[in-house]
Amino acid sequence: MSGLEVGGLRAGYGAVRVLHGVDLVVGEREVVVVLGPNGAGKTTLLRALSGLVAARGVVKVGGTPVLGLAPEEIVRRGLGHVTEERGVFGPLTVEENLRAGAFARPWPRRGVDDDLARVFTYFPVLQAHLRQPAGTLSGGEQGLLAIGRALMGRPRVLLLDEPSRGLSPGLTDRLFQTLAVVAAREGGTIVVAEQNARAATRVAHRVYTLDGGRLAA
Amino acid sequence: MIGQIVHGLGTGAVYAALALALVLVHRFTGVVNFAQGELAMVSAYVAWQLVEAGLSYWAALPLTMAVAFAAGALAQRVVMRWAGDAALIMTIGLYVLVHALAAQIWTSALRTFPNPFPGGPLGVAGPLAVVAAVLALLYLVIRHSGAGLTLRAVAADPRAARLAGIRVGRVHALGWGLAAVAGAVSGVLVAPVVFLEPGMMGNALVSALAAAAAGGFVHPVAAVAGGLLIGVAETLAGTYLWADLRVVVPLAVLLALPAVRSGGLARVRA
Repeated sequence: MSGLEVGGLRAGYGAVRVLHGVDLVVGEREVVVVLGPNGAGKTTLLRALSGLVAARGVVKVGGTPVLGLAPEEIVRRGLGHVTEERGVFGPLTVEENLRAGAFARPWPRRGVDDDLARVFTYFPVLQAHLRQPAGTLSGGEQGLLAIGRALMGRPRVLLLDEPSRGLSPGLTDRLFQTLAVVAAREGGTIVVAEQNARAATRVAHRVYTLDGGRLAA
Repeated sequence: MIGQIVHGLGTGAVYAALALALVLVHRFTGVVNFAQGELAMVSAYVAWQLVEAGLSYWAALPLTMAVAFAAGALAQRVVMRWAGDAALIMTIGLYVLVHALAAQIWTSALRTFPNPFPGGPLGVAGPLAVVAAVLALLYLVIRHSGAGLTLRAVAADPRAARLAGIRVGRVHALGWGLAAVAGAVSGVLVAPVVFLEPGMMGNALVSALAAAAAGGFVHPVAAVAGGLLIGVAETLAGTYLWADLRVVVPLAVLLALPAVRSGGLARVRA
């Protein structure tokens, strides 16, 4: 069974159509990169998948149709989304941010502490700032925190919008190597939207280009 | 003079609890709830009914708080969730609705509510202790529980909270419920002082709005401090200047706030 299935996805803002029928199937333990210049619709694609933007077509997470559900319900069915704004809870501590991510999981939420420990193995920098308000982290660290928070929800599919933003080329390379490990170990599916082709494509199983509102391999 | 200040603190405890309720709703759902006083008034009636039914005051209080929590959460789920951008107007509608329902159920007859506290300074320590206990309870829930974490996450960034799988609607209901608990305490505290009647919270609401504004509607401790200060200022003004001046005090505080600059008492505290 595939992690993510997208068929004929159309979305836009008001009268402006951005996506004209996107088809995409991503298997488990796969990392897929969607490339495209600014304004190509990468962010809109991810938003449509997570319910932040109204869309038509088919979206299945682990075989379950999710299109039309509210974002929190889609997240609860296994789709994690790290937006381009990151959206960390600034006044909350790093630990509280991570624990908040566990609310995406169904009851009973067992093993939250184990998951925290695993997130720290991926992103040790978060453990160093555990009791610090998230708003005091650097932009790059906030990006890692947002990914860690999404992982706390044990997503089957993880969408990442420009994870390299705010990171140096060296840190970007390390992040993508970590993501490859995450996909392999957690058994999830990762979809990365990037402008930065260099680092992303090195660990990707497949690379697509979003052009004219459609995906091309 | 000392006696007047102590008396003012007792009145201030009522404002403090109601101001705390206003801050909770505003901080967690982004709206000033003009119906907060009316929800508190209904809570006072509930407590009165329980005491009439033979319960002691101290047994009726936690039961009333539980009923208030349910009523607050219900008001959010049934009415406020549909309000959208008109939320502020909707709380005024809720004010009218709750007031009318209360007048229908309990009539506008004046009723006396038993005072559980003795006279004198000790009688003032009672309400202050109750407010302090409720403040501590709310602090524990908001700071150290999973439910409190969802509240703070939603307050920080509603969209990010949804993407963390938090059901924002239910969290808003939780915020209204907790606020109603604080409001219920103010209603139960004021009921023995004034008569029990549907309009009993009118003055307290104006003072509590001023107190909450002192904390920019976001700082609970500043709102409580503001409530106590306004209580004392009202009592002193009413005693040493002239009685009618009491009602002007909260308005004077509101007018003075820009002079203290944004953040109000919170700035002084920081």
